Amino acid sequence: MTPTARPSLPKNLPGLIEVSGGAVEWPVATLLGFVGAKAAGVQILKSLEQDLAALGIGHLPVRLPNAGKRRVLLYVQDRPGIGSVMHLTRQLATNQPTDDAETDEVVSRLATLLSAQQKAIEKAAREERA
Amino acid sequence: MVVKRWEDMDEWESLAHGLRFAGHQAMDVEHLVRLFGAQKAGARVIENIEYKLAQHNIGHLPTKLPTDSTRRVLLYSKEHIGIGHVLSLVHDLALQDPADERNATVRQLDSHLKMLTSLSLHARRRALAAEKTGYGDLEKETTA
Repeated sequence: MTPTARPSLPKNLPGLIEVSGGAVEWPVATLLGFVGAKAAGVQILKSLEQDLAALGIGHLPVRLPNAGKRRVLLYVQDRPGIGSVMHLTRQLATNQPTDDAETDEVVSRLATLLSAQQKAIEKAAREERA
Repeated sequence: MVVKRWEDMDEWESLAHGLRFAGHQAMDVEHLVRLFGAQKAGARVIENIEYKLAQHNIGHLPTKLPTDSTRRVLLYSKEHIGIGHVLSLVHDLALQDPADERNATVRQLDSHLKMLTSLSLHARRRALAAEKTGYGDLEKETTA
């Protein structure tokens, strides 16, 4: 008898996060609910992390906590602006990539993204005050 | 709080001061080594530089500064209200121990992101409204 496949996270999850501004703060229990799991066991958390990676969704903390009430921040990795900023920051914080030239490139990409992001924020703040 | 005059600040205080305004800055490790007053980026020098940066509330990426002086690093101010603060929270969360049961940083990051997103949305809405009324063209002409 073949084992029943565990349900995966919904394919439209990036879209759902996108309409919420590109990042959401959810309890782990919400993710468990999507796959019909009751407890945050090691195997479930591991496959949730794999599902999130496959959907291009980043999460913080880097390891999903093993308690349903704990909260995680989910973001769309390739979202122009803050999503990419968080993705690259997370990569550099955890020393990925390990290759020197590639790390330097990530630093430069992040600096460029930050400058663009900052200009947009400052412009918006100025307009808010005006 | 006593605010020091620019001319009274040492190199690290000036760097921290600049970053508090700019939020972030990418630079070669060599620049930091010179600032420290050393010729070469040895393990001991890098360790001291990391200490100096931490003392001045300056975060750095990658988390471990490279000992090769030609490498690039990104510095940010943990005291910067905008992007510096976001980087600091993401950095902390990326390194957080899974057993650490605090939710505070996730909440802080989420509310900070919401604030930044709402600012951007307001700006986009204003730009669209300006385009509709033709004010955008007028603004372009005056700034040209």
